[in-house]
Amino acid sequence: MPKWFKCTYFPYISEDPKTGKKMEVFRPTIPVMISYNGNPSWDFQALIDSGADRNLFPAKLGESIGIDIRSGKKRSILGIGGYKIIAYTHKVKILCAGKSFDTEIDFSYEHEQPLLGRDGFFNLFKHISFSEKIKEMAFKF
Amino acid sequence: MTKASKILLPYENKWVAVAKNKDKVLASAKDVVALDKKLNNLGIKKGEAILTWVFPFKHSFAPYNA
Repeated sequence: MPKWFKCTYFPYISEDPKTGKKMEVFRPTIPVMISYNGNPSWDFQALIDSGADRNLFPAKLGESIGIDIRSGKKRSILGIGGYKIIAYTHKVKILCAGKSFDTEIDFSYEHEQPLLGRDGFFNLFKHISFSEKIKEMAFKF
Repeated sequence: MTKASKILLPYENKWVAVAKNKDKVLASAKDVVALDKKLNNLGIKKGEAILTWVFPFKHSFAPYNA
């Protein structure tokens, strides 16, 4: 029996560049938790990012559950505009939709929004789909 | 705008802890370590809040990771 988990986009704020008026935008973030050596984080919203090769989180989120960030494998991450940042890889558990998965996360002091990428998150599921019309994501285990 | 986004207006580019029913912000800070400390001092338990980073309002978001 396939198991599906569905989650609606989370409301944030954006400013219209023409009018300066603030408006609501919905982004595909889902509530997750990570755990390291049995020490769980708070629940937090992470962006589902099909353009990201790997998971990328802010270093302070890792520090909050006791990870010695700079002890991890150092990795250079290249992104839009050719901008490079440094991140450190650690093995953690990620808890999502009532299930726990072993995965790797790159933690960086130069990045704030938690990103869930293809290697380490998308590959935990058989299928992930986005519906912009109803602002909903569906994950199949 | 819905109430769930309106409550984020004062917190651009900060980390916030939102009540589980998304009706109020319980605490905010510049990063997760500082927010964790504030929430513990307030006696808020894990499971009572969800943390999120409030994206800057003036910028579109295109994450960088390759």
